Amino acid sequence: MSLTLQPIKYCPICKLPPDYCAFGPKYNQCKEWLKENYPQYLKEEDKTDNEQFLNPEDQLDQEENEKEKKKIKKKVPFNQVTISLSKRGKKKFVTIIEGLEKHGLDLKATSKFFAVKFSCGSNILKGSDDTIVIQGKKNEEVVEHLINKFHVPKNQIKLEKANKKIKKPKKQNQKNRNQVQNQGNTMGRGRGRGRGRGRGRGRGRGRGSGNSSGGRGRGGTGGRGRGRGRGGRGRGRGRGGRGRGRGRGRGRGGRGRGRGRGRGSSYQKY
Amino acid sequence: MFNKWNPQNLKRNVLKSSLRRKIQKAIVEQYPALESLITTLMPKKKQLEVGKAENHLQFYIIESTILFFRWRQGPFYPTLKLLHQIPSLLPVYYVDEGAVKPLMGGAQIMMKGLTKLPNELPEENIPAETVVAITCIGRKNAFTIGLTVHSTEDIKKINNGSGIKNIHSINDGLWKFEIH
Repeated sequence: MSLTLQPIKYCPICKLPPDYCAFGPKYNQCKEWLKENYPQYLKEEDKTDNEQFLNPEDQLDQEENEKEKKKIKKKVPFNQVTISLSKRGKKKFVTIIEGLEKHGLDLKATSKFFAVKFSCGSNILKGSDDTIVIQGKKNEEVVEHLINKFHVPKNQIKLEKANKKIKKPKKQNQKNRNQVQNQGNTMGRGRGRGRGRGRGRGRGRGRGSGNSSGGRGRGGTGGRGRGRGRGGRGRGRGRGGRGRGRGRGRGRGGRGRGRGRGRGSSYQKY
Repeated sequence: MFNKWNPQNLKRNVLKSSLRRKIQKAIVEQYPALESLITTLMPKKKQLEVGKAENHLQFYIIESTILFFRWRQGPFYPTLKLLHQIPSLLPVYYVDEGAVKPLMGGAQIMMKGLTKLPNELPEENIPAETVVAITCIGRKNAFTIGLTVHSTEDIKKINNGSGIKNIHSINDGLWKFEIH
């Protein structure tokens, strides 16, 4: 059985074999190249009628399916219901529901229902016929009630996202940790992250436990040990810290007097 | 396996010819179909280099392309770029489309995913601990290389747990790795 080397072409954009472009990270950019060269490997949503089939039998089946889908669509008209939030002061919110009348719901009755359910105030806006206003931040709860009690189909409800940016404090901390080595030295008096060329005066929450464990590990001992470690309560020669910490030399000089070139032993979350 | 693998310094050495002959012999022993091809893959005029990484991982490199790799004295695994050129080198298992993305992220292959398509299981019994290629239905090329944990008969019987270990797949650290 003799084998031969067969050349293969990779996609020039994502550099994967064209069979698997659809599962790769850059599918949106690969689409055009795929349409010209390998139209059968597009995702099904993007296939047009011409390229979808190489067998005429499949084409007939597909036409029947399309006709059925069109029939179903005609029965249910599409009227969108939007739910959004707006502010009423610093901390208070208000939920606004629009587009309910076309679903055949009595506005007064629904607004009363919500007021009773959420034990808060609810009105109909004076200017328009269609909007209900509820006091408080109730957008997600409203959706459940609309689906269960009032039988609004799920795909016609639109929840608008809040515009607020959410801060992610964890990532910021990580960045600082990586930049630790490049920043200048404080006199180690910084709290925690202070880089302390410190005579380890850092306040660092030094994990120094006060128990000596000779050398390795926690190196507490009020830092008297040769403690490789956190140099607990100062005085320590503490070397290098937590193992992961690349303590170069003199460790974290926990609290107090440590000789630490301390990193001022911060309270770092891992 | 090579999910987040990005080594900084890969040590490389040139192999001397006696060692090189041993390795070529071992490869042909494991893949007897490569007998005629091995001289085109590893021509005499070019030097075969060995790259070493953590965990006793060794690569065999010719002209800055990786051909095979292995751990300690284990079986030789071809890289995917080589496998796409010689598709009939390894026995094949077939998988659903929904399994492609998790496997590209490094997941193991469960027996239930293989028995979902009972018509596509291989006819011959593939024993445990062989190197296997895995492809998606309707496609030609493989996208992962794995090592079987159980034979095909056991997979049909037990039908619970992991069946194939995932070693190397598309778009992981080894696929993106380039040597300069």
